[in-house]
Amino acid sequence: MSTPPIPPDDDATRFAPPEDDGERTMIRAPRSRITVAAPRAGWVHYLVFTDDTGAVQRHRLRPDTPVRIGRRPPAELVFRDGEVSGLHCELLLRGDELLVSDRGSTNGTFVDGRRVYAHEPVPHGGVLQVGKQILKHEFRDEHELVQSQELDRDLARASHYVQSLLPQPLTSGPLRVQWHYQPSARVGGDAFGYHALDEHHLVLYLADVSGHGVGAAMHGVAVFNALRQQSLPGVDFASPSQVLAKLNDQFPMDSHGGMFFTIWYGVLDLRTLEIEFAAAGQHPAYVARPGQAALMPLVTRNLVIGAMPGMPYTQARAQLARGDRLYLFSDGVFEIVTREGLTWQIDHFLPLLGQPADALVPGAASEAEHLYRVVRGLARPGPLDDDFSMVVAQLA
Amino acid sequence: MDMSVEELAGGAVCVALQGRLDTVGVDQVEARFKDAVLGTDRDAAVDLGAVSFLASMGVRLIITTARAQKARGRNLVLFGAKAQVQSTLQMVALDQIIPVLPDREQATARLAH
Repeated sequence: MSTPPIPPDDDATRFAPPEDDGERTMIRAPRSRITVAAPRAGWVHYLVFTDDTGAVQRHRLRPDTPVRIGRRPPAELVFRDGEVSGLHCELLLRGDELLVSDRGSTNGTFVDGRRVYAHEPVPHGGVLQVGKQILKHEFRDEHELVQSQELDRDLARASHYVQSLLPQPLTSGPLRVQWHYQPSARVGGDAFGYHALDEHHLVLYLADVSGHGVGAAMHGVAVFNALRQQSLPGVDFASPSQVLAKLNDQFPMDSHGGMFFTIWYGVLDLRTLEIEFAAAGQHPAYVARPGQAALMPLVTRNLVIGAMPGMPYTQARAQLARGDRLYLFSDGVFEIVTREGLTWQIDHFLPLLGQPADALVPGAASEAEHLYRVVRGLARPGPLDDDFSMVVAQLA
Repeated sequence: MDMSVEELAGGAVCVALQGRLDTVGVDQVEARFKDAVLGTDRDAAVDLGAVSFLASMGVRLIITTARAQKARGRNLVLFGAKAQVQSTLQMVALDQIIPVLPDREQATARLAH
């Protein structure tokens, strides 16, 4: 169905503020189908969305100036999304009402989950869905927005700082490691890494701080630094249970803003391929072995770190083999809501692990990135709710 | 996220939570929840039977409240969690510091001791 564009207002001055033409505005009644609220001084309409890089963008809407959304110019808002039509829909701000018209798109235009066709309102706070893109209609005080943007910048800085600390992939040697990290818009407290303890032992770990925001990110960085710089006093870093017990002593939630964290920490002996590991409050790491359908979970059950002083921590051991792939990931990888509205649990995600190396989605540089793309495609549109951290380590 | 408060046989306060105990849910309920548990000098039981999802912020709320209870010599127990929430409680090993019980009867009995 093709819908004509929203016609320009036949008399835009009807909505002009009194200082422009007060008398005419007062004596002419608005058309019956559009209810126009009195403009609020300093309040502005925006469309808020996430761009290809994951950054939050805010497009200011101006009265009686149409904005077209499509996959290519001359649309003013262009999304290179295969589910968006060349010219998909058109928006127009009339007074304080935002109207949308579908322009005959293949996949439809939706407002708060309901398909719309012509000149339909997008309420304040309403969500417009175009292909995979989610755009939120914001109507807010411009000064408040400036403060909010400052917070967004702080979050972006925190996110960049965390990313700058992440290790380089290991592309040669007995253990090849690649990862994919995608911080959520709110920035969580994921931190992961790997390094050699000595010529025979390699450490891998992933921690996830409770909550989101700069505080969680910075707490994650503090934990990260303690592990990568091996700065926990009196600890044998080859002993996972000692490391976790010491972290629990060093990072009590009482003196760290009420934050705790979960962690998986493993030490691989490159001579024997034995791995000793301990998890605290975290789901297992999983091992996929060539020729075996079942994944091997590597987990111990320990209290989250920081919740209670003096807790004991247990560790376990497993025998790995050449060709094994070890998957270490945060809960943001699987705690998604799908397009169908299903809240995933880890069991929904596990079948995606251990796939043949030649089964990667086109364009994915690694299996970790492949998994991100698959999960991203299955999740409902919009940014993921939590950080996505996936580490894949393969024994050569 | 919603909650209701009642009294168990024996006098302990029972707080029933309903909905997703995630960041948004905790924001909605935290002040009322802490007031219900800590605003009275009694033991407390938390009914998780209608909690559909427990995220880390929900775990944090439970831990901080349980610790505040313990600091003043009072107990807090959890009960009634459905499979998914029970699985999360198991994973974070919360039962190592807070009793996690299957139903109201066992929660009541535990607090009566």
